[in-house]
Amino acid sequence: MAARRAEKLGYTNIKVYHDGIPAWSDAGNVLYTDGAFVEQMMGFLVLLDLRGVEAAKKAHIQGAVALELKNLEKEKSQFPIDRKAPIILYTDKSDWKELQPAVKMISSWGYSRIRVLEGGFEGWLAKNRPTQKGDVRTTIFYIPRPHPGEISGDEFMNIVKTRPADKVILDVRNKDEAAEGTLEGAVQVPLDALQGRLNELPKDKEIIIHCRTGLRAEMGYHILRNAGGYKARFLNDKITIKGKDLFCCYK
Amino acid sequence: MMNNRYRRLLIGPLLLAAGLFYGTGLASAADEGKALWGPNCLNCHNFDPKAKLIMGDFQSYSRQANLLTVKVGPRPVVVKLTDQTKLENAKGYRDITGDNALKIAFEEKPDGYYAQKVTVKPPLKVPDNQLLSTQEMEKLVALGPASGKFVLLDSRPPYRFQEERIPGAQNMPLPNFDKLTNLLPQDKGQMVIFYCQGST
Repeated sequence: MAARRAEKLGYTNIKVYHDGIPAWSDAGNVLYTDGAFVEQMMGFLVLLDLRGVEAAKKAHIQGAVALELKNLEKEKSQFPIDRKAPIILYTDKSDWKELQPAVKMISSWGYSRIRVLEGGFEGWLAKNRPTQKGDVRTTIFYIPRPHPGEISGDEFMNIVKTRPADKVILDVRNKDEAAEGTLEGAVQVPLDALQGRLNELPKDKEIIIHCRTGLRAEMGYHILRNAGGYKARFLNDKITIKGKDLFCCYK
Repeated sequence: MMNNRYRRLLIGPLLLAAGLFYGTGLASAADEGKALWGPNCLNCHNFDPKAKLIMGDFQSYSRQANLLTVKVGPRPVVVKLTDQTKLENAKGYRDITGDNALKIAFEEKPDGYYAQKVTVKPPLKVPDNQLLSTQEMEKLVALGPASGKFVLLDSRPPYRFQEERIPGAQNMPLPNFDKLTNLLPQDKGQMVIFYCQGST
């Protein structure tokens, strides 16, 4: 641990903020984020330009939504349902003290991943990161970043309907869940038995895994990846099958 | 200015290459054993080829299937839980979060890894006189390192620092501590504050 190593070097006034980032963030304090992170996550963030629409029209970060800092409270209803959505705030310089009240307010709404872009729009420009001019969005939209191996709801439904010969659907739910209804032609292997029954799965077809919420399907995907030799993707979404009725894909 | 679509095109093959690497078999039993120890765990623990251990970070738990996913570096490993599996330092699997490091003693069977004991990493002990509360931190951060006469160091890996950091912090990842001592103040009596992801 770093504190012990510094002690060995002779430092005498060492402090440890042991509760660290989670406690700092839960208390509604500002965390800075780097432009490099924002660029890497582009398209899968709620990126708020709080300089207002007029300033944003002149130039804004690609994908940003322009809102007025002073009117932010009124926009609560259009924030995403997913409280874990990464929310990035910026102004010209993004001084954290200026944005502290906004961070505290959004945090009090239940959001846990709020960050302030360090250096603000000026810092973004200085690094020549991508910007846009002209029209800017004024309504929030949020698409979560897909996990590796995730298949879209649309593509999954299309496979269920057309049943292409090069794909097989794998249902990893338990027997009692499968008893209520299954997809036609799906291979049934409860997740806890999957590792021992890999020989029942084809290596020459793509395996499309589903469960009820996406959690077990993702674990199944990792089991196949670790086993090697399988081509697979999984549905990371809720799906309910009752007899012949199928309710799916909420993302 | 770099086009965003171009960048996605670049990421694609990288992910593919990582996937291919991740799918390939491993050379020897010792390599295989070491592949179950996360790189962060190796900062403090010496690899023991005789110990049948998986060391990594909690990723997910399914009550329905009684399985646990542990991230060993970038690789998720799925482990089976049974009625015999012991759990240490947590009330239930649902209390474990993404910030928890796990040590799992396991038995390997043809149908997977069976956990014998799951140990949640307990927080390291810090002497009381060195501990800072969130309120004390808020006051210091508001002053800033210059006026508050302190150095604030984030011990987490660079990718975590890039994602989020306390204003005024500098990154001093623990594995590179010895190479980054220039970040420490000249005056050994000056206040030096360390933090990381939580009570680790």
